[in-house]
Formats: sequence, structure tokens, C-alpha cells
Amino acid sequence: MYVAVKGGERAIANSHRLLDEARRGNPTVPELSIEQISEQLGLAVDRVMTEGSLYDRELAALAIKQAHGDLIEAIFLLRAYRTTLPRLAVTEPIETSDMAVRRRISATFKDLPGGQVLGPTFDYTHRLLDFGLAGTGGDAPEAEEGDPETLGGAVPRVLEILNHEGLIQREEPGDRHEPSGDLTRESISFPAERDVRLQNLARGDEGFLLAMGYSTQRGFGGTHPFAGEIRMGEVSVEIVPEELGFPIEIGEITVTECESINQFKGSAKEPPQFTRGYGLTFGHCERKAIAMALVDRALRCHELGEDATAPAQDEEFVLMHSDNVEASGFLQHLKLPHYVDFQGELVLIRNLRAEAEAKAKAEEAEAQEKATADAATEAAE
Amino acid sequence: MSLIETSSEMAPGLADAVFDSQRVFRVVLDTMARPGRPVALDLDLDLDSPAPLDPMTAAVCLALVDFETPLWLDVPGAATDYLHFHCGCPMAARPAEAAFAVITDAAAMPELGAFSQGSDEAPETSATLLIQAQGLVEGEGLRLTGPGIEREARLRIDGLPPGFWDRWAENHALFPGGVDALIVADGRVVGLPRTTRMED
Repeated sequence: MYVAVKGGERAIANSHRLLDEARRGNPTVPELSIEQISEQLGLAVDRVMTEGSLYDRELAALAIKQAHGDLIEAIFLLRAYRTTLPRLAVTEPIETSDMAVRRRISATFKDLPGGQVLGPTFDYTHRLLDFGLAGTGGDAPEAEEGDPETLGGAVPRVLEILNHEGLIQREEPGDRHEPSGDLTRESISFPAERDVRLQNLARGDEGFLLAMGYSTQRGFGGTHPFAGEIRMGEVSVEIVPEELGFPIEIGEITVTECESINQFKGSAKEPPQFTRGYGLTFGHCERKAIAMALVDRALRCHELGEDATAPAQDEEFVLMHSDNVEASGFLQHLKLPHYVDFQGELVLIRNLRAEAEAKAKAEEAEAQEKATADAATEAAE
Repeated sequence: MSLIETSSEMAPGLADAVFDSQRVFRVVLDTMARPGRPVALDLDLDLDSPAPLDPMTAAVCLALVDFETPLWLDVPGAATDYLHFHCGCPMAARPAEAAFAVITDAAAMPELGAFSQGSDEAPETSATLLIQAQGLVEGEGLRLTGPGIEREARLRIDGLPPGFWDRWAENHALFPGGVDALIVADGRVVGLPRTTRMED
């Protein structure tokens, strides 16, 4: 008999206390402030805001602190908080062409109008541990100011250059007044529209999208991608208050955008051309933005008349498994009591075992009987 | 109308948006769970909603209606402005587009079929009607049965248009679709979900 173990109220309360203690660590070490997390673990904050679908550095930093640095747990906390917020307005689409660019590179055109702006990037570091950072108190050297002439004006998008020649898939602008889908209000159904698909990918787990994007690069639904353009910087957010009837700026957010350029040999539906994938994240989540663009492009296979043969091209597979809060919830529910479930399984296995044993025994007896009978016949002969 | 005029003339909404909404929500939940049994809203909300909007109707709207639920009112003017401003909700041009509908003049209300009925796939998208009636008397009148009513509830609702209960029977037959109604009168509210039947 399998006996149920009960989680008592006191045990749970004690577990909460242990959790707090574990979070704080050694009390002689100074406690982390939200500002420290926000300022010095900025990319963790960016990831939590992106996958938590909520742009608020302070709340994301708090979530990271509360989650002991477990980013998926922090994303869960932020998502839960998000559900309590009232919706006040829908913003106008952000205009990334008007971005105050801090980083903007293209891997397809060397001398592009506006220039290559490296900005803060790990790309040219040697990945050597910097023991100078092991202590505190060292101030980082101030970076040189960028050329305001380069960075000041509107920086044209790289893909527009190809667009002029008609060599790249045209992206028809949607109707500004048509509301975009929102999978947090209406659950996703298949085939999904591109707006909902992009929303799903933007909220999706970075590791999952990275692996999916990587799989297309290794040949599982290859799309021969180039990083057409990656840009990171600040864009303004606008709403149109009903009583005014024109847009007003309510703030500024940092975003990273990636547009991929993908080779396409043509299909029955479309002539040979370059095709596109799109990635957008809050903050500076460059790896995620590129991976998102690759997966978006892979999922456009139906639109382009390509055969869908690889996992990254399977819309339901990708979109239903991209969300780390959903995935981790279902996975971690395995820790909850399944005592009755398991009791049922136990009874079933015991019955099946008994049946199999009885059957084996019956067969053995039958074989023995037959052998005895055969021996008797032989002896009679 | 300019923004400044609007805000200076506008009566205030709920004093405590979160806790007052929760208390109103609880009342609505109770009456929808036990249809046919009116519940008083003794919450001292002091809502000075513009006529013909009953303060009780206003309280339910302030608790339930928001940016994502289009609201339809049978009267234009101050009542509409009040709810539009405090709920921050879009205003539905036609009854069929509304998630919530406020009917201040029950005698002249549109047919129930004019409102969103929901679908078999998404029955939750049907409209919820807030109907201001003349009076509610328990223990006499109609015999109501259905989920949430142990045997039967007797209730007289004054001020509903003739033929309302025939339309209600048709509404009931649309299950899982069909509208839900909340009847407001005498400072009380009574739930009439789509599952409630009127016998005889």
C-alpha cells in the first residue's frame, strides 16, 4: 500500500523561510539593490522584460532578486504581475527607422548609409575572464562620444536598399487601424496569423528559439540567412488620446531589431528573390532577436510555397513549445502529489503482472500436460 | 467638449478602484450564483451617477467594464460620458457590438436577439445586459428554476417589456450561447443568467 504524504501548513511556511534565507545568502555580504541589478545585470533585466512581456526595468530587477537570479522564475513573476495591470491604451506601432541608434550593423553591406555602428557588443571581446572585475571599486573608463552626425539623423533600413531593386520579398504594411492579435487575451489557434506568431516568438524562450534557429542553420529546413541588419537603441512610444485625436509621446523604450535576409530559389508561387525574417525584443537581446528572425523566416514556408519538412517549419510544434512559463509549469507540476494517479497505475501494473503470470503458468501446465501425453503415447507405441 | 470641461463637471467614480470593484464584483458573483435572489449593494459607494443611470448600475459598470469591453447604452449624453470616462471603455455603436449593455428604459429595450449571443465555441463572448427595472418583489410572481436555484425562486420584476419572458425562453434555448442579464431596481441587483428558466 502506497501511503499518502501530506505537506503540512507548517512545513510549507518553514520552506518559505528557508527560501528567503537562501535568497539572502551570507548576511555579512551586503544586500543587492534593485538599482544594482538594473544597472549592472542589465541584459538579464532585458531578457526578463522581453519574455515577461512587460517593459519595466525596476519590476524586472525586483523579479530577478526575488527569484535568486533564476530568470525563468523571474519571467514567471513578471507575467503574473502583468495579469493584474489594467489596460489603458494601445500604442501606435513603434517606428524603428526613427530609432536613436546605439548599435547598428549589417553583415550584408559594408558601406551602408549611416555606417556600421558597433556600440556595446561582446562580438570583439576575447572571452577571457577579466580578473580586474573580481574586485570592486574600479570605475569603468568612459567611452568616447559617437559622431553625432552619424548617429543623429534617421538611419535608413538596410533592407530598403534591396527593396528598391525589387530583389527582396515585399512586406505589405498592415492596416494601422486593424487591431493586432493578442495571444494573452485570445489563445492561439492554427494556422496562426503572423502578428500572433511574432508575439509568440517575442515572448518565447531564448534558449528554445536559439536551438530552433540553429537547427535551420544546420540544415533542418535551411534558409541560408544573413544578418541583413541588427539595430539597438531607443524608440519613442506614442498613443493617440481620444480627446486629442493626434499622437503624443508617452515615453521611450530600448529595443533590438533584427531583419534577416534569406536566400530563396523560388517556388511555384514565388520567383527567386531574397526573403525576410523579423525579430524584435525589448532591451538589448541580440541573440534572441536573430534567433527569432530565423525561426520567423522558417515558419513562413507555407506563405512561400516551400515544403515544410523540419521541426522549425512546423508552426504548431514551434509555437506550442516556445513559452518557458507554460513549459516549466507543466514540467514542474510533476512535483505535485500524484498519489491517487500513481495508486491507479500501481493497481493496473499489479493486475497486468498477475494476469501475465497466470497466463504463463497456464501455458506451462498445458505444455507439461502435452509432454506427458506425448510420452504416454510414445510408450504405448 | 474640451477635456477640462469634462473633468470639472464629471461626478467621481469609485473612491477605491481596487477594493470597491472587488466588493461590487462579489455581489454580482453572489447573485449570478443564486439567480432570482436579489442582493442589496450596501457598500456606501456614494456614487452620484448622472440620470437616468442608477448608482447601482453605475457601480456594476465601474467594477466590470474596462478598456477591453465595448459598452452600449440606450441613452446618449451625461450617462454615456460618465461611464466612458470612468471605465475607459470603447462605446459600441450598435447593441450587437457590445460586451456589456446598459438599459435604463427597460420598457423600450431592444430584443434580446439584438445583442451578441456568443457562439458554441466561445459562449463567453455573449453580452451581459444591465437592465434597470421598476421594482423587485420576492416570494411572488414568476417561478424561476435552473442551476443555482435549489427548487424554485419566486420573483416579480416590474417594468420589463411585454413579451420579455418569451424572448427569455428563446435565449435560454440558445445554451451554451445566449445573453446573461442583471436586473437592477430598488438598490438591489438580481442575476438572471442564461441558464435560468421561467416556468409557466
